[in-house]
Amino acid sequence: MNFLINYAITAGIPTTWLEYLLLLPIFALIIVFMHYIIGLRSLGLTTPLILIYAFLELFKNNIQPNLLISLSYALIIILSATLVTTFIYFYLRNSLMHYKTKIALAISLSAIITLMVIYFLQLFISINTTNLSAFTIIALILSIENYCKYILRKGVNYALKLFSLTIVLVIICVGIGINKNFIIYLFTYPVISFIAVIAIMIIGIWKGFRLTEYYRFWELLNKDTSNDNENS
Amino acid sequence: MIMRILNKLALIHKNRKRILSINKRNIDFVKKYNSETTFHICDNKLLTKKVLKSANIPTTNLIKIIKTNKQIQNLDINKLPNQIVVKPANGVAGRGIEIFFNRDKNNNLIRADGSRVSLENFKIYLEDILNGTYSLGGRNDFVIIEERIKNYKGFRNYTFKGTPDIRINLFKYVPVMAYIRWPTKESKGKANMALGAVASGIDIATGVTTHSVYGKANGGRGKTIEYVPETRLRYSGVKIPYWNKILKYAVEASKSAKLRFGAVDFLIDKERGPVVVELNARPGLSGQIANNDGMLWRLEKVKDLQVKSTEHAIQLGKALFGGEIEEEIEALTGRPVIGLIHPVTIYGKSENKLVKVKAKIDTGADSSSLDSKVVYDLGFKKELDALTQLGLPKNFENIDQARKEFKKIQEKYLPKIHKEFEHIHPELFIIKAANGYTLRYALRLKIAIDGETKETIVTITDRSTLKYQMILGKRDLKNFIIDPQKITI
Repeated sequence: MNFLINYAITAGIPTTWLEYLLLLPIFALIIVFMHYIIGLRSLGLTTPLILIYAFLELFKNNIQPNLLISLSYALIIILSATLVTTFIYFYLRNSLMHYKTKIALAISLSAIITLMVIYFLQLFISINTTNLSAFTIIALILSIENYCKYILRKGVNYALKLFSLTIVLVIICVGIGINKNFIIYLFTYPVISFIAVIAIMIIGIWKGFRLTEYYRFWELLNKDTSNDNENS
Repeated sequence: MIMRILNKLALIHKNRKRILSINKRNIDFVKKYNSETTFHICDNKLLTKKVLKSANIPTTNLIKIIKTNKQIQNLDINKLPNQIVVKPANGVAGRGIEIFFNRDKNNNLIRADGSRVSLENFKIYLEDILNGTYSLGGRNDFVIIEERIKNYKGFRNYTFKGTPDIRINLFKYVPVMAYIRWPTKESKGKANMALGAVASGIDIATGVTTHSVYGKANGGRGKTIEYVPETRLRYSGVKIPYWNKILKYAVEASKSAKLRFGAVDFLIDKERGPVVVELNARPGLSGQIANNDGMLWRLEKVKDLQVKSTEHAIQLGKALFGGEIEEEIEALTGRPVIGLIHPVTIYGKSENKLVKVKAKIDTGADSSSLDSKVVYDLGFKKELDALTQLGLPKNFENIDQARKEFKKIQEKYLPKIHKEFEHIHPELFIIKAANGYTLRYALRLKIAIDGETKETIVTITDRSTLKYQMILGKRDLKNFIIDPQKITI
């Protein structure tokens, strides 16, 4: 382990804090890489990060030995909140209510439905909730606000597309975050986080094509322009 | 197989340099060429209207601005026209815009697709705008209510209910690309490609539509479409009315907002003609798909140019980027189209000696004429000195005098010179000039016009006081079509 990390632990800083803080630049790098290099957008930057850490909390606290079941548990919670929000949007879309109250209602009803979902989940997939913070569940539900905004601005289809891509991103990042070998490597070489910061800066000035643009402009990229008169 | 793949990769790599990507747009153009003030003007539709009005550029008629919830509560819908457009002042990418075509007897507002919005829901929608639902950054906003444009008749058969939207992309105030978006039934009368509108590229020089794509197909890549759905009307070949006016307003609008990279959107009103509806400092890249051509190479061409005036900017745009129609003419006739000034390459004595000049096209002259200094530069000093000793060129008041001198030189001196300089085949020409006749010598030189090389007889004279070092006469123009409006850069 790196001497700085050792020193921090000796000073009383919890290893979880160190882990989460060192992982943040890496997760941020993955999100911006997906956006500016691949061309796949997610629900902003903070929403995926909140979801990543919420999922990590679920896994770290050993809610279920089987990783797949733990992942399913987390996904069911977030999916139920999303479905409730979508349903509420259709119902409230033309209602006589102020904008923020619609979002507040969506979040509040999601919380109640989530409680019911967790109750039924406990019946079928018994999980250990001793070390699980309620804040984790709340964070999952609060991340719905961004989703609501996209529904209202760009429609359900677009919002669902963004949400799906966000979940894929979250799963990738959680996969990295729960990998014990990677965490040991990170603690041994915390400079990886600094390298991630530099990589973010490089992506910040990246002018090249996004991968999805190769698809978007495929016809133009394959066009034979040898006879085009560029010197009229 | 491997060669095919390598060739394909080479083609893709080459074409990448022609196409503008979002990342490059954001870093090299949007942020580099537009100031904060420009963003502020373009993002705020009220401010845009103010700036356009001060520059005497027509814009959509404003009916009402709503800034508070109290105004919404006190809104009397009967005081508004039946046909209105409602939009957020700081909306982005067309978000939150609603077009209402009529009202029923219950005062429900009717959209293009026939759906109705009750007065209560209309007020909720206005409130959403004020709360920043559709604005950039979600900040509080104003509501703008405008009069709906009366659709230009000539477009009626190409659109479904909505109004086609014309976009001119400009860089350093030069129009670089243009396209029109046709609302369709699928897009519910909206000129939005993502919703199913059709986009047609427009030739900058002529204002005629070229390539058309159905925007929603192929996952947003677009699919070439030829005919208006359920008709045999072609989208291509449509002449956009008031085209020169549109270009003029686009250049002036971008100048007034100091929009050095962006787009100006127009609608065409039946009575008023073209009106500017929006300035966009972060224009999308769909124009490339509509025009079936990249934008980046066009921006690179304009980068180092200096624009002197609005007319100059328009001329540059037309000269550099017009031409799709011209290509069709060339394909049909087999003859390239050239303007009144055209570059010509003249080859000298040795293979590697050549001079490039701008030649003036003169269909009134039989033969081409070249400045003697150019002939000197090409290495023909000895030949020219021998011919100059004959005292040419000489001016005469009448044709008889010219013919007399012509005969004298031809019989006495020319055969010797001809023998000595056979390679340039010196001849004598009598040229009818403004103040009489001129006797000149002519040489056979190798020239290249538009990549086509040939030998031709060119009269030599002193053109040092004239603007162009060469004129091309009829004899050398047989294989070309002359377009007086075309300008060569």
